[in-house]
Amino acid sequence: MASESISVTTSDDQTIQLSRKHAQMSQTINSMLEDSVGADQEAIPLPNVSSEVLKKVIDWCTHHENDPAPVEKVKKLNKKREYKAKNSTISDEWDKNFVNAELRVIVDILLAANYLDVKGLFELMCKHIANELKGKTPDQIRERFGIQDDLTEEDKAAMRKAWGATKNDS
Amino acid sequence: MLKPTKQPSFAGECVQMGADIMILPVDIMLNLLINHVDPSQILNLSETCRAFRSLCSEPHLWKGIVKKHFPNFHQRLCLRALGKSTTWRQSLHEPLSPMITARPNALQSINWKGEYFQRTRIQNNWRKGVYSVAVMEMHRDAVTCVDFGDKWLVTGSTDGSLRVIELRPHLHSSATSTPVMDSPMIHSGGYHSGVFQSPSIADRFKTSAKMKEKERSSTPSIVPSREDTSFSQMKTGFSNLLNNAPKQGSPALAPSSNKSLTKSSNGTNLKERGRLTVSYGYVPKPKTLGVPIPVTPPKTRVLTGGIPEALLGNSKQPTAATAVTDIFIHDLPVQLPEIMLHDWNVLPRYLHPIQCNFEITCLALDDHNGLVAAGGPNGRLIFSTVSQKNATPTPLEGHTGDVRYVHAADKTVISASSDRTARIWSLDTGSHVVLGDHESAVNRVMLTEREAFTGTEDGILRIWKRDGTLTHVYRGGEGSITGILYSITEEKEYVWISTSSGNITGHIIHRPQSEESQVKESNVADVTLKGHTGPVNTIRLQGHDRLLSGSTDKTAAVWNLKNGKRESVHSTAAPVTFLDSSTDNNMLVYATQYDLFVSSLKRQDAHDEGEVYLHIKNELWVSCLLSDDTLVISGSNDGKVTIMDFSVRREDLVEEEVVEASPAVSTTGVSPTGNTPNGGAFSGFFKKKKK
Repeated sequence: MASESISVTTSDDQTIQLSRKHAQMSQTINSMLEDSVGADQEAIPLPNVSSEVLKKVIDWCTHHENDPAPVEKVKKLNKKREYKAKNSTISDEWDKNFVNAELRVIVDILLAANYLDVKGLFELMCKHIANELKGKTPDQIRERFGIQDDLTEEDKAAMRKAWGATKNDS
Repeated sequence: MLKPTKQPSFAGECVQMGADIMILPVDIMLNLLINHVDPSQILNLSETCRAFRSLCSEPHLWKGIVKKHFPNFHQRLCLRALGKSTTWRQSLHEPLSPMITARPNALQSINWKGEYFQRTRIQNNWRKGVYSVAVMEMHRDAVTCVDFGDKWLVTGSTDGSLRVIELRPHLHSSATSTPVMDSPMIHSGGYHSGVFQSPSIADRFKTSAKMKEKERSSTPSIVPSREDTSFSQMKTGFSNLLNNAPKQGSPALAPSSNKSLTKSSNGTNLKERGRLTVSYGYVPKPKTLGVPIPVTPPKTRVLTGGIPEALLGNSKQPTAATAVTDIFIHDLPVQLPEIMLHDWNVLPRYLHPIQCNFEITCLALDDHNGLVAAGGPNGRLIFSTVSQKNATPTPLEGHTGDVRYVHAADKTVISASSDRTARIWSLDTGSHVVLGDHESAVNRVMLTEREAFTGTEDGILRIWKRDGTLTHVYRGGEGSITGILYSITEEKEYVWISTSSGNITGHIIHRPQSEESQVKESNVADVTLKGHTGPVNTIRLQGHDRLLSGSTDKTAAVWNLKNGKRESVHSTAAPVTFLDSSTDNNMLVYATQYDLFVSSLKRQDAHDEGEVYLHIKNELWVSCLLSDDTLVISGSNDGKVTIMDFSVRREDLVEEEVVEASPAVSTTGVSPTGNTPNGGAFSGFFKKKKK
């Protein structure tokens, strides 16, 4: 009988307890659990995730624990895609608050979600970053993401020319 | 024990301090950009810094975007790069394999970014109804059948000839297929281009009338010959021709074929009746360049010309087809003149006739190998190459009854005949295999890589191996079979048949391993698509998982093959005779007797009608219709073939008239769904629904 809680060790050497249900929302942990049936006393090492980020991930998992299985979700999205571009707005209020964080945190969660293979969270973070880009001019994007402009004016002129040719095509 | 793994950032060494987004690895960035960012936004992103610039010009990014937005196109492009004999249109109906294990180097040559924007342009053109149109008076009698692929368009007519047109010249390799332009350019019928948008169309007509007024005093210029036809020169020549048309047109020019046509119709002016309402730029034949056609006195023979039986659904049912019984044809054979068209964008370059000397009722084109097969009454069946001028058709002898249907692929032709046989002809060796033992006339046939399918008049489907061994008989169908399709849905191979009883059924293809296995008999279909109440006239596939059907019950339906459910129904005022799709553009093209519609294929929820974007009224019966993702080709009963091309660039469409009308175009062009009132007299052309 597998225990109801799983312990994991994060990159900053903290051991965190999380419920089996939440742990299984991560495909990465899930496959590790399947590989080591019976050895579930041992803490699972997650060397790519810090405790701070993992707590955030667990928060998200707690809120979405009753969502339909991620596989179904993906299928649904695929179907929609055939008709029109995926709806990029974040509908869930809780999610909106969740993504209202510093970019550094968002990027870390995105990396963690990718590593832990939590599909819904990954999609949410991608959506959020995409929304941040939406409708912004290059200058605005630089400002928002703290990017320094290392392109020369000639580079930009050349790019606009090349893009102009393509754009006229459309 | 796991070790911390750090994936390299997409920015490589360019990572900037403080720019957190730049620590993300390439695959995450690509996923993000492909799935969540609007492609046009990528332009702005690429202008922010060097790291993003290189990321945004990554071919993988654009390949992914093409795959996401245009899945079918992506597949075909891959197949094409791998040298598979797939054509744009035919691959829809004869899918090779949905699995693409593409060799990366073969795909490197593809400019994915360019392709994406080209596809977007085409999609916008469909949505906004922007197209160029060429109306060609190609036959002296009803156009009964048409087939086209990447390179060639072939039309067949009851006047006993096939016409070959070279499509999309830019796809032809320049060395081998540059046509010899040795004869003078002759106009036969109209040729024009323009932006057709419902709100502005009235303005356009007004402006062109104004232009006519203005130029009426100017001296007519000579039509430029093919050699010096730069586009602008052609335009001037063309617009002069156009504007002089009303004055000099009818009496002085048109001594040859016009006369013959008027004569032939025995009092009824076919020419007048047959004019497409949309072809305002009708160009008469220039007198100086006209070649007199030797015309023998018309032989008065009444034909029930050119309406395939499938059209009528149930042949016993009298439908509007009776309206076209008064077609008279010339004594065959008649020498047909060479017709040439302007070299312009992707529109046809030239065309030449293949004389067959029998009334052609069906044809099939093997675009990849440049071969065409055509069938007619009394067992007449020929094949010919399309690339050579004055090609002599080779007869394929064997059938004793009317050839009802042909299908060609990979240098092989399969023909269906009322003599209760189908035959598979190998054009390389000249040998053929007889598929006999049918209880009644064979209506439809289809050939795939491994199998042949035959459908009879009494609804029996047979599946044969290519060597002529029968493997499967399905006897459950009611009514005659009107269409056969082949699809690969969820890794199972299906044959789909439609019948005049209104059923569409799917049958899984079994391939028994053992040699001695018996013929499988069945009465129950694996999948039945229920919904039509009248004969199904046409079925088509859109990609691998949608089937479109048009029926005499005045509906066109869209079926999802994965779950067998009807996705949407388009109701019209008349029986849907022909229908086709434009694949990734999600548009439906269908004809109901005299009308041609281009409609969106939108809603998932059933019973929601698609939005009609274009409605073109013909004065004559639309006798055939085909489309692919850029072209819509239709034939009518007076011998005219209309080619609508949705791949035009707006810049190329700028004629004098458009320049003058530009304010109207720019203000109204942006909202295809706007409810601007249609221009008075022309409101019948374009019907739009309010959103």
